[in-house]
Amino acid sequence: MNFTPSSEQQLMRESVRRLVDDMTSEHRVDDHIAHSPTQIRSQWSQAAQLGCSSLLLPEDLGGHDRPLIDLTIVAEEFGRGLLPLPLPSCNQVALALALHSETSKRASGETLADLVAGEHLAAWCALPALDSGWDAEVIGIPGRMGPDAGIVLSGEAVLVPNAALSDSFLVTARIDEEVIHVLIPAGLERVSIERMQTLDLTRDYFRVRFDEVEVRASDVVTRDPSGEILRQLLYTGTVLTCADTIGICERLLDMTVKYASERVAFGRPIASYQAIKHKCADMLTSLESARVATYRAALATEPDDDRDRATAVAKAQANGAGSLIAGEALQIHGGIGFTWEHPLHLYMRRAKANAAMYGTARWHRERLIRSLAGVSSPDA
Amino acid sequence: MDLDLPPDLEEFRTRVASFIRAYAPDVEVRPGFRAPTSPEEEAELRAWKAALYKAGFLGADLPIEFGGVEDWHPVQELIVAEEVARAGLPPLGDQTVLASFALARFGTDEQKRQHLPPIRTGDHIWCQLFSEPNAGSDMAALETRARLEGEEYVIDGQKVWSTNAHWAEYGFLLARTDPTVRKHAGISAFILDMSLPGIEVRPLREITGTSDFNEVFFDSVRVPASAMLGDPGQGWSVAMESLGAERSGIGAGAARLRQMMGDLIALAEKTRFEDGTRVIDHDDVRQRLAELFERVEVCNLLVRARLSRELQDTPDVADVPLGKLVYSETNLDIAQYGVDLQSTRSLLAEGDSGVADGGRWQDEYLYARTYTIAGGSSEIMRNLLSERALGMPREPRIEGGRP
Repeated sequence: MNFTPSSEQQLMRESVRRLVDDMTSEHRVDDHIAHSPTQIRSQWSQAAQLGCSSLLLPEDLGGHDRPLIDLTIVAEEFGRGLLPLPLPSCNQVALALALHSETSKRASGETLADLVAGEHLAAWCALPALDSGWDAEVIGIPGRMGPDAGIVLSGEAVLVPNAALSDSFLVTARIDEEVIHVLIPAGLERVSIERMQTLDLTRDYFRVRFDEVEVRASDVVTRDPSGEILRQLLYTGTVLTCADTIGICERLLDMTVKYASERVAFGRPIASYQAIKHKCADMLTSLESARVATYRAALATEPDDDRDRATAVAKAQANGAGSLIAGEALQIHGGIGFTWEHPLHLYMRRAKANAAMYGTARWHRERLIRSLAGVSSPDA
Repeated sequence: MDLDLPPDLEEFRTRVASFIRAYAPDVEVRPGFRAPTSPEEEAELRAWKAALYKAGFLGADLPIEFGGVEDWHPVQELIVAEEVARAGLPPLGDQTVLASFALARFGTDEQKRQHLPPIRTGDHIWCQLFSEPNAGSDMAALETRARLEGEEYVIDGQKVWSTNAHWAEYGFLLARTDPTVRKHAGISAFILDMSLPGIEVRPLREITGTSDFNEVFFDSVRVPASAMLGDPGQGWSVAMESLGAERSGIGAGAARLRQMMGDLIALAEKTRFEDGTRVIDHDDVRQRLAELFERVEVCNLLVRARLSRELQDTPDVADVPLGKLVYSETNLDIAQYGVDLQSTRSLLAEGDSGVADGGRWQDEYLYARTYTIAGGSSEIMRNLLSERALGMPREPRIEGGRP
């Protein structure tokens, strides 16, 4: 049993951190908000060279056969740097493609290679409505069987990150209660996107509309009768979102301690006041709690109840940490933290968005207690 | 990183569990370090300790010639602590174990020869004589005096919050031997024979209604110079290093919280509110239980993270205070919630036929402040985290006026 990062994992963290710091060194708030597609593509391409798009894939598909915990560490660094890059999306799509059915092997094989190289950007379309919740039983864009063993998509996906940048969409469709994953070009006829307005200024989220979109049989990536692949994608997205929040929290805590050490009031740095010290101690406690919980979830090896429970714990803890740490960071920064020009609000906003994606603490806690106790369902 | 235990450690866990089933003492199960309530219970506890030492599950990290186990892996410490907690037994890392660690680390050969074997047989129980009425969080401000007179030290003063003092054969004492230097440097550690004339033990009575702690008064108690543990003026390091490095019982608290959490959920399942609905069917209860469950999981994970780092010789200065803080506050919150969920019955106590779980939650709730106050209060833990882990300025220290 070893709950500390290996030296390879440490080295990877350090090289990703260097890359992130290089990418953001001249950044002011406005730079984080302006999302130049060229810049994002270029940055993602650089990140891909460090393995950020291929860590989880098997070696024979161009990957590094690394466990999720490695990508979790990378995701922390991305959160710390507020990067707008499609880390979870591209990895989720690549994971699904790695399970492709034989019939589509050739086409998705090429896409997969381009994903690995960081040349192809993709997004996962799965959440059918803002109020649908994140249960594997309800996730999926409505569709029906179409001509020539194809399918017809008719509905929309909400909160799709980076859709405008994407070359293709992995769409998880729900057809007669069955889950089917398809890969379509982003520019396909009758597919339209609309940018959503969110609190998160560092990343763009989209509605993707499918207006009777005809998907060929050869674009079917895989059927998913047990929903296991869908669960894997949800699990991966949830853990990486927790990791993003942890990176945010680390940066906020560092920023806050530094500020408190420099800011003088009544003749001494505000860091010397016990009230401020204790707030920071509580922030550290919350951060480390969320961190161990997230690593525990990332280390789950089997798709079982244990993994589900660990993931729920991680998400609820990470959400709590994001909320507490962002709030106290702002409070300790005082007036300056309240300005648009100070980057603090960017972190706070992104943490709030992370809290909503893949389930709130409340949502996860309900599922957690159901798995632990003899609770009757709310409808009973 | 991985969470798996090597297969031979899983086999070890099975061995520990069956040992516990065979040798567990027949004692009343209460949280924390509770005084035995009868001579029979005291004898059971001594026999239990002796069995543990003999089996190598306690004292495994002592020198081999004193019963230490070769190739003892610190993760085994964790497994033993978890299995003991799972069986509802008191944690193993008590005052006697602390003393044995200090003896092994700082004792002379003669001191080790004299004191370690009787600890192993359960013949000697030790108490801790550190805190004083004026020296709790600021323990280095202690005033109990040990004056050198020829070949003896003469001890005068008072200690408080001493668990086991009324049935201990020996005490691990901190006293001031040099009042002329700065407070930390003037303290020495002693091995104190509790049967010596001049020592008076007075049980305290705590809010729980039980007497688990004691005051100990010293009136011209004479000990030979050879009773000093470590060098003159080294007492602070002896105590701090022992407290910091002694690891037996690591994870005991976190493991106990898992049991407690399971019991809390069971309580919520079987209890009803005044309107007849099951407590567990209420949203706010489910949310709170889930949150408490998360904190218990975090407690256990923090133990593993700390142990991992210590095993790789990369301890983090935040590990110990963080673990203690999270454990003690989670314990208090669970205990309080257990009481609160009982509605009107929450005011009942042990002994009343109408109280849930034999009044267990009420006792837990009353005892819980031991953990947030003793062993370094939550406020001190927060100071340590902010100062040592985050590098924030230390509290202003004012030294003066004290001998």
